[in-house]
Amino acid sequence: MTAFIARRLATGVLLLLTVCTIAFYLLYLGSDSVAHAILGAEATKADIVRFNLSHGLDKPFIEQYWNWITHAVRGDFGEPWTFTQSVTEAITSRMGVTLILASTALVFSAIVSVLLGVTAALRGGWIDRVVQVLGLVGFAVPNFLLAFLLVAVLAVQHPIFNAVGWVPPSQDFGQFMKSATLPVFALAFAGIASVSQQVRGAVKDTLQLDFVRTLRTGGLSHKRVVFKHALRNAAAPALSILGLQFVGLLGGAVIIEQIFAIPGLGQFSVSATAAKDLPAVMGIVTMTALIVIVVNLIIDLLSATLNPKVRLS
Amino acid sequence: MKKFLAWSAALAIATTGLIAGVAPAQAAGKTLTYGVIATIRSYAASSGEVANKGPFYQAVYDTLLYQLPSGKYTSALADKYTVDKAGTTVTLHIRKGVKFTDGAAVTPAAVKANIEAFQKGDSPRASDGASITSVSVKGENVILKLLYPDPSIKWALSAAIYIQSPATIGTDAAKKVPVGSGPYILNTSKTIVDSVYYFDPNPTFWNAKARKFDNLIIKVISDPTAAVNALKTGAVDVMNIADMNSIQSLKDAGFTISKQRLDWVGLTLVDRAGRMGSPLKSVKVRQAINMAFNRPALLQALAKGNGEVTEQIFASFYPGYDAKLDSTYPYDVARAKALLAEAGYPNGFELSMPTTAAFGTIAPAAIKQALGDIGITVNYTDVPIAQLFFQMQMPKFPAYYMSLGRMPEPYVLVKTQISRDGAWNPAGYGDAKSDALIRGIQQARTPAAAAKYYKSLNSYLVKQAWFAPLYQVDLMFGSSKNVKVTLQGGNAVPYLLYGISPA
Repeated sequence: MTAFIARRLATGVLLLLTVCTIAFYLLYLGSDSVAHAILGAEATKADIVRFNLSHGLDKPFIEQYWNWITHAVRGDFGEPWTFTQSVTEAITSRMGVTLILASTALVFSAIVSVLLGVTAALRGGWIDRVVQVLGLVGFAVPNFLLAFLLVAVLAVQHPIFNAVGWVPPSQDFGQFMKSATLPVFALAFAGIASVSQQVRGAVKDTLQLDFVRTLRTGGLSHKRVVFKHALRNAAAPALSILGLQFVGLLGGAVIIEQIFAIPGLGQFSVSATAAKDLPAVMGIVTMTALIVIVVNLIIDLLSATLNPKVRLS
Repeated sequence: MKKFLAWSAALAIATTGLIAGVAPAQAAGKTLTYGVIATIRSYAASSGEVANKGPFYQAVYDTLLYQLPSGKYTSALADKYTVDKAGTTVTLHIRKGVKFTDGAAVTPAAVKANIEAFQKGDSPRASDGASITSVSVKGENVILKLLYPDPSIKWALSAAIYIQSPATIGTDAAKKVPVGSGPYILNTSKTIVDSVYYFDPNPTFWNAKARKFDNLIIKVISDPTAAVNALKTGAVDVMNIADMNSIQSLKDAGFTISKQRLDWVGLTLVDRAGRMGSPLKSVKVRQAINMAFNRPALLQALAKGNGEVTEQIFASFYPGYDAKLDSTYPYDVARAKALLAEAGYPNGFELSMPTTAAFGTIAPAAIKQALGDIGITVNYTDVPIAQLFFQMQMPKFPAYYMSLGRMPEPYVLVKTQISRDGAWNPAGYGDAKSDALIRGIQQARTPAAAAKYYKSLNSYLVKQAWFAPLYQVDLMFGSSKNVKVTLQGGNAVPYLLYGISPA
């Protein structure tokens, strides 16, 4: 297991370095006229020169990259060009919001998917058909369209939930629920659709296996057979899907945060990219890549714990 | 399983009911929730901005003058403003007894430090202070020496030149926590940066009578649909509305839509001197271009009719605007071709212009077609948006299509789009007549005298076809029944103190 973890960590670090280097180079290529874009067309030549000097844009690529990376490894992503907070402060404050959104959506998605998937696998009939249709709808309807529908019906026409804004749970839990319910649901819906299908299929297959018959003939209750044994065997593929879902949720959060005006990492990404704010964009790319790598590592470790065959492979 | 599903449904219904009943905590007194479309880069006064970002700064800082919705100027931190006969020395008497929120007094030295910081700062409006060559203090006065009699200096002193506590000038803290003498103080503990800003009333604000709301919240909502939803659900009291399809539904729901025409859309004919080798040197060619456009049809196609056709770049709220000039160039393809022939281009010519993703595809295609109808072949060069201004200002193109804004002060238009060193006049074109008219505006000592020169200049620009304006586009501002809004000509959003009041 230690060798497995070490291998995964080494791969992760290499991947992070590669992503950051490529991203920095691509951003650097377009940085020669970023001063104009930020200061506006009425900026004088002196303003442009002053901006470039103060932000190190006059230095060669290698020097700019070296400055950036030697600070980034210490968690210092520098000062953004178009925002008030430092990049590190901005990312950590916003990451919290996006992680709350994505994690809540993931947990909600996991619980509902397992319930629906197990119910469909055990009961069959109309429940099974409903779950399958739900799967189709979840794949077909983009999350932003669902978000618009939810806002139109449950916030504008019938003001049950908030249409925009974000209240941290620590500030006011009731208002947090009002502000988070619709975006969480919009984010989770596609995940529920796909994971419930996965769980349904995996549970059905597992229940056909010999060991399940053996457990039943041994006198174990139906509930224990399903939830303690069959589900555990069926969990590994579902966990992998959930891991991928989490990455997808981070990407989906970009649009959802725009629609609901939520100050998360997604909204920050859009603003930083539109403003051509190189330090901010690099910070976001790095943190996002790091999150994806860590999440995949956790999923791999969980899968390896649940199923020793994964460790050997 | 059935029991479980039944309990789950009951819990969901109960939770929804509870959530629906949760009301947000209300601040004591009247609160204005101001929706804006973009956040700010820095709260330092030297980075100060106007228009959509103005409310952030107006909330916490004072300016030296205020501009009222009528366009007139009134005193603020400067309670007296005088200009010498030459128009190059401005004397500002600084109001006594005003304090910043850190307890420091607003003094002439503090004002001097701020103006100098503004000139060296990174504000997009830094050029508004470019005519100031020196700032000095004499007793209770601040003396500004100007390079030339700058009619826009009053506007600059009322707009982007904000005054912060001198102890905070140049500090990193000032970028995040403003220390001013304005009507409100930023509540940093409640504020979620770049999302929701909370402001408490400044108890030592010298102009408390002008402050109509006890508390202020500024919410940043960049998505146009989210902005409409925010207004409809009461999450904000006021908001710019970019989604034109929502205007009618907002009006039907009882919201007030105020509009003004800030931007003009059309072509700037850069190479009037012909130094880039284009035929735009000929006034007949430029006039022919003006006659090639069916302006009402373009307004409908490009802006869904939200605006007004125009043939002049002067805004309708400017002195010098003349509605009669809008019938100078009727849409007449035959006459346009004849003019080109008279100018020596019976077979037309090729014209290179930039285009970029932000323009979309419809506008460039429409312009290309219109000019093609009179024999001018437009060759577009696709330029990344980040490089567009840079290439335009080289100048790389003899003409360009753009939507250009107008500020409340007409001289800013002259300075930036007409004068030889204007950022939007990259070829530096001017002639003896335009120079003389601009000098006349600079030297005019009364608004009436300036208006005559503005009118003559506007008429000259149209007749000489320096530009080919197509239309002025409507900018919509939505407000709820709780507030009364008075828009300021030339400003994208109402000013905080005098532009919005409780209904």
